[in-house]
Formats: sequence, C-alpha cells, structure tokens
Amino acid sequence: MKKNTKFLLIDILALVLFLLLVEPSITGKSLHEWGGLLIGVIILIHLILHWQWFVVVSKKFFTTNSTNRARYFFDVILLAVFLLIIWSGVMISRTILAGFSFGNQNVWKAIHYLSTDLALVMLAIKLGLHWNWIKNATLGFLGIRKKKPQLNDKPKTQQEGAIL
Amino acid sequence: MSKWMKISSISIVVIALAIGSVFSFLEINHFSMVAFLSGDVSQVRYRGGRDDKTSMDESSVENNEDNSSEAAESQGTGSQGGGGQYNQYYAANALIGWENELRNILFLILAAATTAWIAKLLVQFRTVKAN
Repeated sequence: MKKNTKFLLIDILALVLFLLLVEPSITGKSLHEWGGLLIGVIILIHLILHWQWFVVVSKKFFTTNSTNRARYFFDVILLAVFLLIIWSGVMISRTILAGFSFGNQNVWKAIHYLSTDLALVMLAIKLGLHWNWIKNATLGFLGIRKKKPQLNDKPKTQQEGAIL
Repeated sequence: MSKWMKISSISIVVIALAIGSVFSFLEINHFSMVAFLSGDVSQVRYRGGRDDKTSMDESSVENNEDNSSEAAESQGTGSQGGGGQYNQYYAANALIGWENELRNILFLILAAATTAWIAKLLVQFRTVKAN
C-alpha cells in the first residue's frame, strides 16, 4: 500500500469516527465511550505517521512558508483540543471508566462539549489547509489521476518536500 | 468577466455559504455555548437534547440514574452502572442525532472549503505582491 493511501485511509477512519462520536445519540453511551478511546489510538497512529513532518517543520518553523506555519499551528492546537476531549470524556465516563472521575462533573461536561465544538471548527480549518493534498491523494487512490500529492506551496527544502 | 470579478463573485458565494453553515452549527450547539458563556455550568445541556423535540433530556436522565443508583446501593442490591435510562434517552434522540450529524457534515465541508479558498486567495495575493 502506498504511503499516501495509508495516510488517507487512517485520516478517513478518524474523521468518520469523530463525526459519529460528536453525536452520541447515534452510537449510544457505551459505544461512544469505546469509540472515544479508539479515536485516541487512531490520533496516536496519525501522529506517529506524520511525526517526521512535525519534526522537520518544528526545526524550520521560522524559515518555512506561512502556509506550513499555519498548518503546524492549527495541528498543535487541534491535538491539544483532542487530548482535552478525551481526558474530560474519561472524567465524565458512565460506563467503561465509571468511578475514575474527580472534580466537578458539570465543569468536565462543559469542557467536553465545548472542546468538541471547538474541535469541529478546528478540524474544518485543518481540512481546508490540507485541501490540495486531500484532493490529490483521493484522486490518486481512486486511480483518476496519477499525480503525486502536493501541498499548496512548493517546499523550501528537498527533505521537507519528500515528507510532505 | 475579468479574473478579479470571478474571484470576487465566487468569494461572495463561499462566504455566504460559510456564514449559513456557522449559523446552522451555532443553532445545534447554542444551548451549551450560551450556558457556558453565562457562567451557569449546571445548565449546560447535551448538544442534541432539545426539549421541543423530545420529552427527555439528559439532566433528568442523569438525576434519575443517580437516584436509582443511590437507592440500589442503600438497599444493598448494587448498581447496574450507567446504562438503562441513558440508552432510552439516546434512543429518543437518535433522529435529532442524525439531523445534527448532517448539519455537522455540512458545516465541516463548507468551513473547509472556505478555509481552502481563503488560503488560495492569500497565496495569490502574495504572488501578485511579490511580482
């Protein structure tokens, strides 16, 4: 399986799962909580797969182009928001991790709901910033166009380009 | 039609759609947002739990759940854990859930398209400025 196809499939899985988790009335409480833990694992896999990109952009943060900086900035915030969702979810768990919570349940709930809303907005921005890559990777996966996925801007270094 | 006329007209359409999707998004979430912003966290409600569409809301389910658990514990019968009434609540809200899900997807697509469009415009402006 091609690297970009693997990345794309993991991302699609994460997106679909997240959209289902946003509405627990569709999944039910237990599945919602199991799904929440599963999405934590998928985010970890996503992070491992893109770790090299993260390291390269971290090192060249001040010299890379503004689009890459924006991607990096939103990705880091989104990761923090997802961690907040998972942690607050554990705190208000009623089934699989019941009894693990501490502190004010209403505050954890408010944090859980609001961080989920924020994640949805941040996710939309992330998708927008990676639009070209998603489009090209999808077309490549469907065999419509045999073009290597590229991002909006040309990478400044060869190493960055190889990763992006 | 000139290039900038095309860009302007498409921008207006995209921005109008984006504003529409933001309003749609706020409508399904305003309960939690309004309650949180007003500082009354005890009134924060579940995203889809609108009283006008269902006879149950999560807070009442939770109170019943807590009371029944306490009663069960006091009688020494033990608690079955969170389950029964929550499942009833979610079943009652399943339709609203799908409706909200469609709005979420619409919002996600439109907001992503708007972001991509703005990013593209900014790159174009930067290129024009550089030349």
